[in-house]
Amino acid sequence: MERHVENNRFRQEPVGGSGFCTRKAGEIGNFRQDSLGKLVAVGVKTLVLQAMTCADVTAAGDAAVKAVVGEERFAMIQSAKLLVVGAGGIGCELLKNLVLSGFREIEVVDLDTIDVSNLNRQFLFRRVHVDRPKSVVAAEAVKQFRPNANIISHHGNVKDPQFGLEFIGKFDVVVNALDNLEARRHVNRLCLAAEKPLLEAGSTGHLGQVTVIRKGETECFECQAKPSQKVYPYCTIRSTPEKPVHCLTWAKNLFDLCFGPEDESNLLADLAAEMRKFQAQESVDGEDAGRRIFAHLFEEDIKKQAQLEDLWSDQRPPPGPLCYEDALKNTERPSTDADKDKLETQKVPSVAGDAQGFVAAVAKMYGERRELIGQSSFSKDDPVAMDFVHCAANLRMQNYRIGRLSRWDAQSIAGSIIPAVASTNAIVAGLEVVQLLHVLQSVGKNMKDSKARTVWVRFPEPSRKKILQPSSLHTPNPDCFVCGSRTARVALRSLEECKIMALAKGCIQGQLGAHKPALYANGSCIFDPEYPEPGEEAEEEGLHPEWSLSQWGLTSGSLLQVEDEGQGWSINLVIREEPDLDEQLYPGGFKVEAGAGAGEEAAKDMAEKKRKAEADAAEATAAKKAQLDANTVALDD
Amino acid sequence: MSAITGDQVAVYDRQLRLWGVQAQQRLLNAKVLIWGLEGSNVEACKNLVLAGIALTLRDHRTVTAADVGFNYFLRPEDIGKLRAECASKRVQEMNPLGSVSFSSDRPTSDDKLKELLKGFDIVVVGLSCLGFDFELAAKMDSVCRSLGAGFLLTVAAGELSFFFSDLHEHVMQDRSAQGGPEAGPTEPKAETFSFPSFGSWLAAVPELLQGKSDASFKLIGLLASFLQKDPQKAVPSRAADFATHCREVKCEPAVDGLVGMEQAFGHFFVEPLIHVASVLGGLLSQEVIKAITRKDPPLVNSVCFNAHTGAALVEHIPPVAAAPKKRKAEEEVVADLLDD
Repeated sequence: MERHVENNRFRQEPVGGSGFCTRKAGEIGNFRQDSLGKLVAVGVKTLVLQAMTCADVTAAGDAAVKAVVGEERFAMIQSAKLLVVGAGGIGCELLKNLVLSGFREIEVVDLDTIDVSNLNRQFLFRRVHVDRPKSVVAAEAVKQFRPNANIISHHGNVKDPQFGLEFIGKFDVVVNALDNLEARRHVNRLCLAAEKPLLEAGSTGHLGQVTVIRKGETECFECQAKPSQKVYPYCTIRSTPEKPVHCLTWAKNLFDLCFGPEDESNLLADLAAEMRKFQAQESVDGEDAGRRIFAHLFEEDIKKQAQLEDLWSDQRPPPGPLCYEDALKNTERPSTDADKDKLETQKVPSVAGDAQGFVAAVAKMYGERRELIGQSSFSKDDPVAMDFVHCAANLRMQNYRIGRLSRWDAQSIAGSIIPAVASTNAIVAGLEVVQLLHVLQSVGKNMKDSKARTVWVRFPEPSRKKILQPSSLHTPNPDCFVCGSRTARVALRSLEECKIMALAKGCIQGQLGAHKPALYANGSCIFDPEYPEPGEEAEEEGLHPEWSLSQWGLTSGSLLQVEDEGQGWSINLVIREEPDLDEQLYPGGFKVEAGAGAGEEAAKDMAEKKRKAEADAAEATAAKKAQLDANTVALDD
Repeated sequence: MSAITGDQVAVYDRQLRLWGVQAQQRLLNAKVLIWGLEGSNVEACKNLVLAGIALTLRDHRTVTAADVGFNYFLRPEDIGKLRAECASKRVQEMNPLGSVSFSSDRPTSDDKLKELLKGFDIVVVGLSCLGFDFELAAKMDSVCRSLGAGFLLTVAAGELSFFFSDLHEHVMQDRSAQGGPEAGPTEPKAETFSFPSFGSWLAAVPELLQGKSDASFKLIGLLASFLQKDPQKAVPSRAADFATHCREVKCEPAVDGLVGMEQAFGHFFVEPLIHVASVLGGLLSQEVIKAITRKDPPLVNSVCFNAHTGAALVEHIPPVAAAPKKRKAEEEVVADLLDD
């Protein structure tokens, strides 16, 4: 008994301020450290009593679960080894549900730290936890619910090599609670390669969905095309913006260009020389620098743009330059009736406000942030960066006669903020455990014959009386480029111009979701992820990341093999040259023609046809509509 | 209405972006009573306090080891103390900007009952805390109606979880915007929803048991008809009598995952599985939030989640002879388009 007590009590770390400590931080005074560094109890007797109460609680909690699920299922629950990926909105709810359901062997990975804006739903966290790792704090908190649970937390990115196939191999089931497509695609591949069942979930606002993935038996996460991040044509960003989002993209690039490390892939790289003039100086008057950057960007550069006559017509008039002094005179604030219900940050500032805000943000960067110049990058949560981007984007919108935005809306778009609330995450995390129990019972059976389902969270109205709507799991898509045929065709505008490193980054990582791809042609390696940049080291290995595809001897019709060892995934790409590839639609100069990213529309059509053939009419219709609502991929951080 | 503070904006940012400032202000001014810290109500405490709603927790019961094993707002050292008081501290800690109070009062008379329900916008009641007294629940609902408060009742049975909702004549003023800040504002369209009382729900039980509703609703109906006039029978040892009752009223619904009526009966007296409470508590919280913000159409009026099927169904009990609504027609059109 005492041994047991030691194990339980000493494994816990004190949690400052957590509402869930069974023991206050001050009680650490009950222990002293002996010479071996092992904690020894001073007040053993009281601890034994406490531990017995803990044991009673665990026993009573377990008994209630057992009464409902039965001995057999409860034994499965107790012995299952789970990996939870993500300790955010869904993750907090999930960990609570798992631990209180009797799961005892859990490891959790999350790379994030806690932010104030998490506190409206990530209920395991308190103000005092802000900036601490989510995985660590969440694990500490739920351990208080069941001290006998063995929860190991990892503060790290699931894409790191330490969480590779060998790591995944330790678990019976992987449960996702992730907020971004990239990581979800990565975990999907790890689970396929390690042949582990995966529970997939997502939420956005009031909508969400949960599904089950097992290799060869169900669709994988990538069997149906997912919307990839929108890429805007260079020209739209650089010269002819039409929407606020184009100006915000420009402004984010501008921030990184002015205050981040050198990056020749920055869309505004041609402005770099001008912007960096200020940096070279020993001491900079921030205000002065701000006004000079203002004049360069919103007045002189715009004048030059306006002179490019080919770009402008009656439908698209040239942009109007804005000088700082004139901007300051424009103090009128656009206002509407709806403004009375709005927060100050939800109101659109005057042009003068934007101009002053821009100069002030630059001045702050050259003042209190001077040390960080050259190593900053845009973050929506950094108030100075966000002020800079909001004001710069608004001034550009003024140039191009686009309706300017409030800071609130600018932050939503620039930071791709997804609205999120506790109730949706609680529903989604609950549904994941429902499916997890079905998965544990399906060992030795095909998942399609189990009770496991995809479940859609509908809002606000039910679909055919169902507010949570299950639909049958689908069989794998034989053409899937991840779990099926593993082939794709890539059309490139020019084999002559496309560098192998650009293909690896833009197409194979960006669109096909690889993490560290190696490329092979005719049996030899032409791109190694260990040497992604040109340099002496790469050359010693006989690698030239800067060479074009034609320099590597590839021609239209050549076969390129891609292998991502970390993901346990490979694919064959057939390369084709297509000089007429539309620059507006494919600004990267390539187009993937099979599997995900095959032009979303085409892939969606395919998926819809397949779905129709498979599912019975009612469920298929409902699921499709739900899918449209949830846009298939729902996200929450 | 007081203005939202900068501190509140920072914490409520992600939900402000979902339902807007006006809705948040209504939530901050609302008072909700959670009567019975059990099952889905525990989850509702979490979701609602995080949303910024002022809560009062009421429960006359003391804490047992089993409570602590289920209710994560309780700790081992609370055993033997009052449930509501112990839980309220930790519910409050979850949102220091919110307000949480507690009470252990019981309704000793009709006047007392009225007094205990006064001053709340919404009342969420757990059936177990009422000693499974369906008649008392109906009385509470009618008092809530007279006070203009919304009434929700939760019942759980292992892998099944149910709530009833009565928002009287509820006027929805607006719908959530679809598509984020780039989509632009939409024209608000008011719509009224009429809810039947819990009394008429109970009166419709015989009809429910013989009708076409899902088996999970029938199970709740069977409990109501079995306990009618005698809530004392709400003890696990009366399982065989319950099974007999089911045979007598010729209603033995095959609920997915339940072997028989005796087993089903036993599940009413243990806490539900936490993830089942998590799901139903989420749906319940959405209804409370819709009721307070007057945003988005509410679910009328009974919702049941079954963990075996993964489905949560919505039924109108007593059933209405549905005149096809315009909205439904639109939905069908969308469905037809998708089929092509």
